[in-house]
Parts: sequence; structure tokens; C-alpha cells
Amino acid sequence: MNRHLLPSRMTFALLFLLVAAFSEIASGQQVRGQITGRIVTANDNPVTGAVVIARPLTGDADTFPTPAASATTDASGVFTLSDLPPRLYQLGITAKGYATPGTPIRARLGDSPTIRLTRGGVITGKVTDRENRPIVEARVKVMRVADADGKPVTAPSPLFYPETMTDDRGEYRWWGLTPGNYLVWVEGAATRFLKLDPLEGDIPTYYPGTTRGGAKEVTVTEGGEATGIDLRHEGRRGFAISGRIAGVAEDTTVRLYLLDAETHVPVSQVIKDQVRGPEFTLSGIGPGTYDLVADGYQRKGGRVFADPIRVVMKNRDVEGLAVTLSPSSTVTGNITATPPEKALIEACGGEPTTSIEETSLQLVLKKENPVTQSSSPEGPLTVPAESGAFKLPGLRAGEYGLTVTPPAGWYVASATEPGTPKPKPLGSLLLKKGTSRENIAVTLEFGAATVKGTVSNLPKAAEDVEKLRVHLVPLDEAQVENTARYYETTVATDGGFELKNLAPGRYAVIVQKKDVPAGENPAFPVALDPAKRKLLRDAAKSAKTIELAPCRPGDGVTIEVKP
Amino acid sequence: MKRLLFALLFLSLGMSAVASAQTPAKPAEPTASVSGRVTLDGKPVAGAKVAILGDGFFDPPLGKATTDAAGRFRIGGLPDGSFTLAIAASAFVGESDTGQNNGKNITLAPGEAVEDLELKLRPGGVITGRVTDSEKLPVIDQPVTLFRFRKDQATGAERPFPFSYNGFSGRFKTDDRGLYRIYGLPPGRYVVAVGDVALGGTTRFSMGGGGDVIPGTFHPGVTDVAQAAVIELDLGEVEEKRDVVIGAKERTFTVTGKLVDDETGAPVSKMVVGVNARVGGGIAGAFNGMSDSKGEFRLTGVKSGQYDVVAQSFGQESDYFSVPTTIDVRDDDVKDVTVRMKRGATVSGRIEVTGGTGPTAFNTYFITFQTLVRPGEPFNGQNRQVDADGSFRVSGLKPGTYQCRLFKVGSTGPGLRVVSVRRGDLDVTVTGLEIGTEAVTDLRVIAREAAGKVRGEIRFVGGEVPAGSRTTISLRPTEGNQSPSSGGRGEVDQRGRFLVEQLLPGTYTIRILLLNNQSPTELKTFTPNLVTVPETGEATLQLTVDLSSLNQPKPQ
Repeated sequence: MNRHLLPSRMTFALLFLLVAAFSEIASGQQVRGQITGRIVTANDNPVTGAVVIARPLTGDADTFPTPAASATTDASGVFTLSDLPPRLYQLGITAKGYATPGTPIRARLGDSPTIRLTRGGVITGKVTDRENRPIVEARVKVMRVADADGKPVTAPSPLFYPETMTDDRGEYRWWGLTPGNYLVWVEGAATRFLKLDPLEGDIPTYYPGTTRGGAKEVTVTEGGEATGIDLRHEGRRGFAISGRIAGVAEDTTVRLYLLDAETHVPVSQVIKDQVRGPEFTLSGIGPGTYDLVADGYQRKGGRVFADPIRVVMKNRDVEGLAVTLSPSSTVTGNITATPPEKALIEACGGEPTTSIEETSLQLVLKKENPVTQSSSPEGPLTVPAESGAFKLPGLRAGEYGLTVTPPAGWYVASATEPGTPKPKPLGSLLLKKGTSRENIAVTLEFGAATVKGTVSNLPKAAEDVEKLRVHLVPLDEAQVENTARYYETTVATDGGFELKNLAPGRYAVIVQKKDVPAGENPAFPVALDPAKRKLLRDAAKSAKTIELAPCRPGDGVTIEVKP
Repeated sequence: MKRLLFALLFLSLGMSAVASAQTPAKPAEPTASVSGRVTLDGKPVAGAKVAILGDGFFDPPLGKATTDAAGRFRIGGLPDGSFTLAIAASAFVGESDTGQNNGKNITLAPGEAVEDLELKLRPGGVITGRVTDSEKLPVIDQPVTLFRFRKDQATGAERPFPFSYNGFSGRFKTDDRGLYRIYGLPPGRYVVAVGDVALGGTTRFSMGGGGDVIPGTFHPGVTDVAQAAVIELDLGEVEEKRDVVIGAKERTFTVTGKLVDDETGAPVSKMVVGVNARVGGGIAGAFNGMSDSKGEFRLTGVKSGQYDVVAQSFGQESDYFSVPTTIDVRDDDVKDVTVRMKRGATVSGRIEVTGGTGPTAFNTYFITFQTLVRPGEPFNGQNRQVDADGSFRVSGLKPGTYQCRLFKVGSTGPGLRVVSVRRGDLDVTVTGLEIGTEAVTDLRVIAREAAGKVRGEIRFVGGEVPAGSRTTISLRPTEGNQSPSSGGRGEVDQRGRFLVEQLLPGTYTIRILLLNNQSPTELKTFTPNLVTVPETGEATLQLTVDLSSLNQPKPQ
């Protein structure tokens, strides 16, 4: 039972069902609900027999939450996850033969997500040596470099590169691949669980049998099979990079990986325990320019990071590199929910049945470095504890924006950090190595409004529509510096847009192209930059205005893209 | 969750160090060398990769070479120690019949040149087939388990035992067409299976994440191992179409409940929850839940059966242990299971180093308190990371008699071993530490760097070591030896040489085991049978083993 978000429920219980209420609290009973969704193919056909598991997100890195519910899709692809306490859930989907969804699927109670799965494709072929003999147990790796339309995609962290191995005939088979273009290569490892890797120390070979420069992309279609993707491994001995790791205690596990400087394709990696000594060696490297990236985990002390090191390899070993690991940063704070007044509850048609633990807090890195980017396609995410306390640990240095998504019906009234004489509205968070930001205060209020609308006079090209953002700029004088009251969303290809969890009040509605300098993250909110916030306010002077009442869906808004 | 992955990775590294820890203290003068040749059915193999591997899971080889046209190789610049001479030849079988790897153990003395080693390869067998369900649809991404027949030591009869090939079982899975292919197998009689199968004492036991599970099914489609089709695999033979047709999926159920403090009734959060089942005379357990902030847990994928619901802390401080609650899962979900959690005792103290200098920081060590495990009883114990200054605090211990051990994470080389454990004036080294409900403070754990070695050679008389066998030597402290946690194991190489490292000074009893596809055979006829590790330096040992008893005709 959440004290902040269920005050009226508790009052009611205390007044009329005192005994029952106590037993209810003692037994931990709480509001429960469900998530009903549908899993379909790209052509909207139902996917039956898929297993969906709902796991609550937790703000505590030490807990691995128990799945709260699981369900199997029926003949129409529908699943119902029931008897769920209010939380933010991550949905894990197992549908054999289908590609794993690229982005995490999250839902709160009452959500009804439609999840689109694509039938996985296959890449299969044979790996042979110079004499055309099969290479057994060669590690075959694939990396998706472009989507089905040929648009380049950013690669995930190399640590999570899956691999498959060739069998006794040298044959391999990759299946369940998301459609798109792939690089296919074989790569050696130092040792493979105390076994000798057949390609240990060799320069990797890319399909069709070349170094990185001459690699050919393999196209995978939905449910299709790319056969004969054979690799002829030259078996040329590569060179080694070695050095020492400094800055961490002996109880640290360090992973090092070398990425091609241009394409960020991983070419060599190693995991080592610092207790075995500070020296490291990465082998099997061909001539070229690379970035050496390292991070680690200290049993006592959390994550550590090193700055990437540019390494130029000629035809000889590179020795004596110094890799220094530095502590990570942490962002902590607290969320409080203001109990809604009776009038507001009435206006909103009932008390909230939500929990503060449904709130998500996510950090968006302003300048994502493709060399050091995290494994997930999005920034670090957490949810608060029941008390409202939240913590985002293990952060690399950089400039971050904090995005708070409250439960349905709630909005962020303010987000501040300590300041004198009074707390300052939260801007972007500039984290230097190992520094932390504490006591960030987020206040939630009940009675959020919603806006749906359409953008007219859309540009012709889909990629230009993608760059459009609809902004709500607060017009109430008291809120102009409150960064939490600026909202921003993308526009669908048909011009539609929707904004939820909005604070009631008067806003200017602006649609404009978002100019994102090269190397910057398009998801970083515009309003966190004071100069850009001022530009938004200037534009607001001549823009269409709307008045949002508590709990009311805003009337359909139409705004025009100005030439 | 990422942190958890790190923790798991780290645990596996730590375990690897525990499982096999044999590397020299300091590679002082790496001048030893190994040379020889690689043959396949007696013919030279050109272009094969060989390497000398230490015991680090991910460490690069200490030396490597590729065979020339005559199949010859030479690896120089090696330190002394006990190593694996590995070869990348997973589709082949080596001389050992245990299916462990294609390499062989080699013990090198400082500066020693070992010549004319032969790595004999033979073609491995292949078993391949398709796994489908009753509607002939492929069963995708399903691990395929292999069992090989050998003699059961207890009954003397042949029966299938889980077979670990190339070091790992469960590595072979069906692909998107339901096809599997297992290769590199030595000749023998096999059965293949998918799903959870329990065979006499050894069992695979898992819980699904949700949904129904595949019943344990043997080729060609039977759930009873007695009806399974036996595959007779000859040298290098390919057995195709060894299909498995599975029947109706087995329903699984959900068990929900709560962990409560036995005294206060307060919820107990952040404990890993699971079930233990009595399977084939042993206890098998699986954990798949964690109690939330309200103490609630949910276990999914539980098949019908009787279980004990248990909870334990996972790598973090906790004062609790669970009182197992027995449940009967019968064709329905089980709700409102209450598992009572009791506060266990806390043991705190300090590690003291004797007989030399200790490490600068102790936080690379874990301390474990573990009860002696009797058959049919689950593991009971706790471990915690030691603080840098050598102090430790372990909580949540059930009443019982505990032995204390130290292990160093992800490490090789000598490390600290417990020499004696003192509680006040009481020496509890051998008797074990009696823990009740009261906290134990100021426990003195006296440890010493285990730098002792026994280097030796075995001479076999009265017969030959059977082909395909490996010989291991293990040293166990004698009763008078005051360091019960010390001991060690070594592999005897082709020349009869061995090296047992990380020993404390003291006297040890020698045991020699012969391992092959049959049950391990203990060799009892040898002299001497005791060895004393001196305070400094190493002990050398010349053993003469009489094999004549092995070669007696066996009663049928």
C-alpha cells in the first residue's frame, strides 16, 4: 500500500473498515490490475503460443525481480497478464522463430500494447581454411549494420555480441535474425573455457573472406534464408596490444575491447580479473586504426570506466599502453506525490489506483559516444522505491537529461536540485568523472491532462517528418523556468501526435524541426538547454495557445508546419 | 540486472580458480619447452594449432605453435608447472576416453625440454537428428543431452551416465529446423534425450520461465530410459536421423507466497526463493524467484511433485535462513505459501597470517562457512567477501557445525589456506565451529600462504595403464596434520610426472585414481603412501605402482 498515491483509499478503509484495513495492510494486499496486449506479425497476423513474462522493474541493482505474471498468446495473438500490483513492467517475449524485439517493451497496468514481431531470418554457410578444410568450432559473429530499408543502425555494445560456432563440417547457422544488412565474420579468442580456440591470435576474416575493408554485407529478409555465406579464413597471425590497467583495486573484473575506429566493429576483446595482475593482452589484430575501450566492476565500489584510447596498428605489436579506470557517477533523489484534494478526485472521476513505483526515471546522454555507448539502445533507467527514493548508479561522465514518466493520471509538477536561497529547476546534469548529483527532488501531482493532435503541411520526405517535434511551452509566468513543464514529442508519418502526463495550465503549441548537431542524441530534450528554452519562449509569443484542465483530454489540436 | 550478470561472471571466474588451480608461483625463468607431433590415425597432421594453456579461463596461451608438414611442433619459453597441451581439434577424439578434451596434461620442471610427445587423434563420432513435437513441428532451441553407458560402481551393471563432451554438456541445441548435431564423440553406446531427465542420482532439474515444458524424452520418443534406443557409435561413425518425437507438453504451475520473520511476522525481502526436490536419491534444487519489498515471491514453471520451498540470500548481507516449507503441487497453482525465516547467527573475526607475509589487502578473498554435507541433505553455508584489513562478518548461519575456508577470486598461484581456527582458547580447526543462536565474535582464522609443492614421478610395474585412461594423484592431510583445509590434486602426465601445488607444510596421504570411461578405479598397491611437505621448498616423490591387480581377469 502506497501512502502517497492512495490516501483516500486508506482514509476510507480506516473510517469504515478499520479491522479489515489493518489485516489488508498486514497481508500486503494492494490494488491489482492487468495488462492485456496483442502480438502480431508485420502483416498484422496473430502470433499464437508466444510466452510473455512481466517482470517489474526495480530501482535496486541487487535484486533480480521475480516475474509477476506470465501468459501465452491465444489464437488471436492476445495475452492477458493479470493480478498485477501497480508497477512498471518489462515484458519479455519468447516466440520461437521470431526475432527478439530490438527495444525493450514496458507497460503499466491498464496499458494494452500491440507488439509487432518479425519472423527471423537465417544466415548460413561454411568456414574453411586456406586448404579448404573445414574449421571446426570457429566463432561466427554477425552484426546488423542497416535496417530492412538499408538505413544504417547503431551497433549495440560488443560485450553482448552473440556468437554461433561452426560444427564438425565447418558449417554454421544463424537464425532468428531481425531483417536488415549484416556483417558476418569469424574471430578468435584467447582461450575458450580452457580450450584452444581454432582462430586464437588470427586476424578476423569477414565474409566473403577478407579483412574489414573488403567485407560484403549480407541481406536478411523476414523469414528468408541467406545461404552459402562461406568464409575462407586465411589464418594470418595478427598482432597484439598489451599494457597495464591502473586505478582499481584487485577485486575488479575488467573487460577490454578493441573497436574499429571508423565502423566501431569489435575486433578483439578480453575479460580479466585484476587479481591476476594488472597486465593485459589483446591479440589477433590486423593493421588499422582502433579504439581501445575498457570498463570494469569492483566487487566493492561498483562500476569503473576508462577513456577510450586511439591505437594505430602497423605490422607489429603495440606495447605499454596505460589504461586508467576511474569511478563512475551516481544520480540520486526522491520523488514525492502530493495527495490530491477531494475536489480534484471528484473532477477526475475517482481516486488514483496507481503506485509511485510505476514512475520511470531515465537519463538521456546528450552526446552519445559510439565507442563507449552502453549496451542498451536507451539510457540508464530506474524506478523509485516505495519510499520514493531513486538511484541511478554506474554512470559514465557526460551531460545527461533526466526524463521522468509518472503513472497514468499524474504529472511532474516540478523537478529541482538543491540551491540557495531556493531549489533550482533541474537543467541538464553535467557529470564529471566520479562526481555524483544528490537530492534531486521530483514532485508529482494528480490530475494530468492529455493532448492529441495533428500536424498539417507536413514535409514530403519521411526523414524530414522524423525531425519534427511538437513542443508545449508553459505560458503561466510562474512556470517559465520550470523545465518539467516543457513537453516535447515526435510526429507520426500521418501527422498525428500525442502527449500524456501534462500539467494543467496554459501552453503555446509549436511544431518545428529539431536541429541536432552531429554526434548529439536526438532524444535529448530541447528545453534543458537555457538558450534553446529562450528560443522556444520567443516562438511561443506568436504560437497557437491551449488551456489544459485537470484530467481532461485536450481537444484535438491542429498545428501547421511553417515553411 | 547488469550488476547481477557481473556477479555471475565473477562467480564463475572464482569457481574456475577453485576447480583447477595449478600454475607456478612465479614464472622465474621460462626456458622449458615442449616438442612433438600431431597424428590422425597415425598420419601426420599439418597446420594444426597447439598451445600450452594455464588455468585462466580467459587467459592467453603461455605458448603456441602450428604443426609443420610433418605434423611437428615446438613450443619454447615456458615456465615450470603443470599445464594442458591443448589442440584445436574438437571434431576428433584424443587418447583419453573421458571426452574431456583433445589435449593432454604436461608437467614441466624448470628449464626442462620435453621431446617427442605425440598427440594422437582419431576421428570423432557424430550423432545427428531432428526433434519434433506430436504435430511434426520442429522443437526449436532445445538443449540435447547425451548419456553414455558405463559400469555402475554400486551395482556392477552397465547403465547410461550423463556424458560431458568437450568439457561441456548441454552445449548442443536444436536449431530453427529442430536439427541437432553432436560431434567429436568417442566410440561407445549412447542415448540422447531432450527435456528434463533424471537418471539415477544425477539429474537435470530446471524450472521454466512460464508456460509448459517438454517432458524428458529419449530417442526415438519415449520417456522411459529402459525403452530408449541405444546408439552404438563406432570410431568416426556418423549416426543420422536419431530423431526425438516429444509427446504432450507437461503442465507447469505457479507457486506464490511470502517470506516472513518467524518471530515478528514482518516480511523478509531480497531473498532468492526456490524449490528443492528429492530426485533419484539426491536433492536437486532450482531457484527462480526473489522476494520483493513485501516479502512476496512467485515461482513459475513448477511441475507436479512434492517440494521444499527454501530461501537464501544471494551474495548480499542477510541475517536470515529459511525453515523449509513442504508443498504438494498437484495439477494446480499453489498460493499463499508462508516460508518462515529465522535469524541466523553471525560470525565475525579476523584473518591472521602465519609463516610469512600475507597479502597487502584481503578483499580478494572470500570466507566460507559450510556445514559438512551429508548425502540427501542440501548444501548449507554462507560466504562473504573479506574486508581489506582482514576482518570479516558472516551472518544468517543456521545452528550447526561449520568448517571455515578461504578462497581467492579469479586467481592462480599460491593463496592463503586456513591453518587453524580459534574461538577464544578453543581450537576448533578439526572439530568444526559449533554455532548456535548466539553470535560468535573475535573468531581468529589463522591462515598461511600455501606455497608448498610435491613434484614426482610414478613408475608403473606389473602391467600397463589401460589405453584411454588418465591417472590423477590427490593428497589428503593425515590426521596429525593440523591443516584440514589443505590438500591438492594433480594430473599424471604421459611420462608419469606430476606436480601438486598450493600445499601447506605437513604430512599427506597419497591417493591415486585411474579415470576412464569406466568408473574411477583407486589404485591401492603403491609405495610409499605418505609424503611430507617441508616448511620451505618442495617435496619430491618417487612412486612405484603395481598394476598387476588391475590385469587380473575380472569375474563376469
